[in-house]
This record gives sequence, C-alpha cells and structure tokens, in this order.
Amino acid sequence: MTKPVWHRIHVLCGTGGVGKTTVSASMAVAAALAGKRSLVITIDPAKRLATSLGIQALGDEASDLTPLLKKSLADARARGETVPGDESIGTLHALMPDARSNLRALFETSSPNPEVAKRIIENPIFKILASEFSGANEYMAMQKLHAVSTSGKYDSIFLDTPPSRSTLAFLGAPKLLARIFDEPWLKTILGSSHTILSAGIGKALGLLEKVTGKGFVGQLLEFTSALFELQGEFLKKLEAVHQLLHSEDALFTLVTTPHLEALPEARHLSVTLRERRYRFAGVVLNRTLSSFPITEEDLEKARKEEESGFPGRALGLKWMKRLLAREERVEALLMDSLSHHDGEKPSFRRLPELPRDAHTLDDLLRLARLL
Amino acid sequence: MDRAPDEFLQILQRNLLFVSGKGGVGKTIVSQAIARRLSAQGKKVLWATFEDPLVPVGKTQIGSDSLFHVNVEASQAFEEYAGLLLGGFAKLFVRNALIRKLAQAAPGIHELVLLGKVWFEREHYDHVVVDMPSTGYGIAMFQSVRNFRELFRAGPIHRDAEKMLATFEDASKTGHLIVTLPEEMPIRESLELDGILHSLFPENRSAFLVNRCLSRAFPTAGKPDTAPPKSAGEFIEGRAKLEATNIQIIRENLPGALLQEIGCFLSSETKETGDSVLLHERVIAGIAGLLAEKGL
Repeated sequence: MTKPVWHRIHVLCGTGGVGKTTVSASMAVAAALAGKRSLVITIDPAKRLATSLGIQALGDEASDLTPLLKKSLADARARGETVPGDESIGTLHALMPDARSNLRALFETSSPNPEVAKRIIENPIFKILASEFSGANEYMAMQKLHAVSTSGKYDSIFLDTPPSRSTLAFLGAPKLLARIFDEPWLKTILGSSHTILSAGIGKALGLLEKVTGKGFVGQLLEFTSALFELQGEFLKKLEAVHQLLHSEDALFTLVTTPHLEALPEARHLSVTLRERRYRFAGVVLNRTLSSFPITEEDLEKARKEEESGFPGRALGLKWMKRLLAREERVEALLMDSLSHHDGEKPSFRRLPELPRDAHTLDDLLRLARLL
Repeated sequence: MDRAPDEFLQILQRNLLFVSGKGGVGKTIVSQAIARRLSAQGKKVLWATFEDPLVPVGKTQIGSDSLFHVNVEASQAFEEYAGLLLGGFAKLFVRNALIRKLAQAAPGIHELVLLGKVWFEREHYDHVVVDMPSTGYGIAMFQSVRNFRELFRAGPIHRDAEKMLATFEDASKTGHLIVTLPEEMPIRESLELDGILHSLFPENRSAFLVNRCLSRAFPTAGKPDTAPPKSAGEFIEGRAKLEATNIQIIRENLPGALLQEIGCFLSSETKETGDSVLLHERVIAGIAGLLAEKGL
C-alpha cells in the first residue's frame, strides 16, 4: 500500500457502527507519527471518542494527547517494535465541541450589539436549538472546524461525523439555514412586524398559533427578527464553512465495513458526495478479517472440540468462512465502484477487526501503523 | 436455549416497542424478527423504520397477511399530522411556504412528526415494532418531543407531545428494548443509552438483548488473550473469551437488569448465494427462530 498523503482537512463519513470514531482517531495518530500537528474532532453525541482515547471527558478546548502518544511509543519500543522516535513525531490533539456554548458564542460574536444576542439567547426557541441532540452539534462542529482550520495550529484535522443518515443532513444543514434568510414570506413578515400584517400572513400566523398555542408565534417573530439583525455575519460564517468543505484542502473519506448491509449505503453516500461536488478521497474498509485466515490447526481443534460437545469454534469458523468470502466480494464490488470514479483515483485502505474494541492509545497506535 | 423470563417477553409484546441501540448491532434485523414472531402468533403487526434511504416511503405488506412495514418519511408525516390537526385547513397550512420552511429548518420538528406517526399508528395494530436510528439520533427523537412539549405551552402540539410522552413512559403500553453486542464499546454504550432512557421514562425499564453470542459453545472461558490473533480460530476464541467479561459490565452497573443473550445465527447453507436479499431473509428467519426458542 502507498503511504497516505495527509491533507489539511479530512472528513470521515459512514453509516453507524462502522467505526468512524476509531478510524478518525487512528488517522490522526498516523498523521502525528508522520510529523504533522494533528487534531481529531468528534461530534458523535455518544461521546465515543473519549472512550477510544481512554480519557474521561473531552472539552470544548482541544486536549493534548501528545504525552500519551509518546508513552505508547515508548511501550512499543520496550516491546522491541520499530516505531518513530519522539523527535520525528508531530503533535496529537482531540476535541469534542460543546454545542450549547458554541452556539451561544456564535450568536454573541455575530450580533451587532449585546442586546440582540441577549434577545436570541434568552428566547425559548434558542434553548431548543441549543439542546444537545437537536442538530446544533452538527451546525457547530462545522463552525468549530472552520475556527480551528484557520487558527494555524494544526496541519491536519480529522472530522468524525454522525452516522450517514444524519451525515447528509449535516452537510446540507448550513445551506438550509442560510436559505431561511431568502424566504420572501419571512422577509415580508419581518419587514412588516411593526406595521399591520397583511391579511394572508395574518391568517397563516393565526393558523400556526392554533397549532402551537398562544405565545409561540410571538417568540418566533422575536427570535427571527433578532436573527435577521445578525444575518450578514451569520451567512458569512456559514458561507466560509461551505467554501472550506468544497476547497482543495478538504477531503472526504468513506468508512465502511465488509458487511452486505453496509455496501448499498456506502454507495449511496459516495454518489451523493460526488453529486454535491465534495472531494472524495477514498474508502477505508474497517473491521476486515482477511488477516485472520482459517488454518489447518484451527479446523483440527474445532473438530476435536465439537466431538466433546462444544461446537463454538466450529460454528465460529463456519461463520468466519462466510464472512471472509463476503469480505472478498464486498471488497471487489467496492473496488469496482471506485474504478468508475472520474478524476483522481480514490484510495483504498483496510483496517483489521480487533477482538477487543480499540479504546486505548495503544490500540489506536497499532491501527495507525497499519494505515 | 433457555426460555426468557416472563417480564422480558412481556416487554417485547407491548403495543408499541422501540428497538434502540448503537449502529451495526443488528437492530433492523432483530426488530424485524420480533415483528415476524408477533405476527406468527396471529397478531396484526406493523414494523416501522424511519427514513430508510434504501426502501420506498410508505406502507407495504410483508411476509404474511398480518405483517406490514412502514418507512416513515418526515415531510409526508408532517402533512398527515397537519391534516389530522387542522382538517380542511391543512392544505392551506402545509402549502404555506413560511410554515414549510420553518418545519424544515427548525431542528426537532422532523423527529417529532416521525415519532408522532408511529404513535398514531399504534391504535390500528396489535403491535408496532419500531427500528430506531442509532443511539444519539434515536435519543434526539425522544428529546425533541419533550422540547416541543415545553416550548408550546398550549395547543394541539403541546397536547399531543404530552400524550406521546405519557404513552412512551407507560409500561403497560410501550416497551423499550436495547440491542447490543457482547463487545465492550457496544455494551458500554447500551448502558449509557439505558441511563438516558431511564431519565426520560423513569417508570418504564428497558430490556437488553445481547446479539451474536458464542462463548457458551466453547469448552472453557479462560483468560482473555493479550496478543493479537493470527488465525481465524484464535480470533473467534479471543472474542468468545471476552464475551462474559463484557456482559458482566451490564450486570455490575445495573444489578437485576433484564438481559437475554441470543447466539449467532448461521444459515444451514454455507455457500454464499450472491443474493443479498435472500440472505437477509434467511438471517431474519434465523433470528426469529432464536427468539422463538426464548419463548416469544
């Protein structure tokens, strides 16, 4: 396999359960080993990365994992493995954005004055926007990505995204938000909020109020009118993220596994990425089993155990045999779909399944060295 | 395999069953297998998925006369919901560009109407089995209903959100099943998920189903290996040795947890057919068989 080339931004997409968090973190470790100042950002609400890195809590500020990495390298050296020396490696940082505080900061820094920011933040609608699971995480991770990518502190940034059904929503989110400002209805309402509403709008809002109960329409108007006051700044920020993700610097990598269920979804994702003109870097096939071939010794042991009433190994090997055959097929299908890609040839990499989940830096280091 | 305790089986047989868990643990297949078992008992069953990009939106009959599948899509569900709320006004309401945009952009409405749809459907079926999205997004759906109940202090949405939450919390109406694997990270996440579900619905305890277990069919549990495996046999053994340790994490953190293990399903044919749909069918039937052994 050729050595991976580390770009400034790597966005990792994929369906749930394929190990995106582990792959993102391993790639960040690999980049650090190659001398880069690397950062991994996760927006996964299940907070998996923290577990992966063996640290209890990740904050909004990047945590420096370089000392941990150096310790893992020292341990590997002590086991007699050949690993890069401390002087040749870069740095490793990890970050999990806190949606609520970031959203607040975004409104505060975009507002023309503190009064407008206050009107937004104290509105009940803001509380929903900022609640941890409502998608604010996605909006905010993009904002954070932009902020850290322009900070000059990192050479390579790895963005772990939520499972693909929401990954696509995540990519479309800033545009959708930006489109609200172009909505003529909204402009009319807000333009006329201090005068008499036109009959049509009045009727529409009356209907809305019927559904939402009294008070909500008032809050909504208040919130959107405040939002409009910071429209310019807000759109500029969203546009910057859009530009960044579409730039030469940003590469999208698909993480998938050799399961039949994963293949159609993987195809769907790669096609959508291409349609939306993001740069498609290639595929990481995670949790592969091809490095664990079925040996004669395995079969012999399985036969003996089965005779004494324990079919587990035999069953497991039968299962492995099928999985290995499936893996070969999935790999061929993936390679085939990649070969039809126009433009730069996408890369293809494999990472083996671990019997135990990767949850220490040692595990990530092992995976990173296989990339 | 041993029969599951009655309380576990009873959770699976409630009018509405949410099958939750981390991505890739087999929620889709397990939830479909449960739906199949329930319909085999002569019940009218709806298996629901949310915005599965791979199947068409809407309702279809699957398998037998009494088993249906609905793939719920938000904008369609939104129109239906508005229709129910507003009657004749609905068309005017949903065609209104402002309201449409608000519904699209406001985070949470999406999730509210998706859950609202299965909540409405439950009255027309003996059982509605819901294949929930993976952990974070699944939780977000329940969270949204709560947000909306709090944001709209009166009116029909408030009323419906209130009723939905009451149904989801009612242990005589709704069951919550968490599917996981006997691997460490899925196990830890299932506990996290249980904690969040418990805080949302304190009166309705979840059941756990550990999918793809192998260790009981090995001669000795033994000590987990530290060296990376070199062959398929070593890999399988390593995984099996860790199973008990991993499942123990749930028992330690949640004494008395309603937990059942099911084995790995292997079809009798070892040859790959090349037809993923057929294979899928066999796996669902196989899991349904394992559930039948449990007494479902």
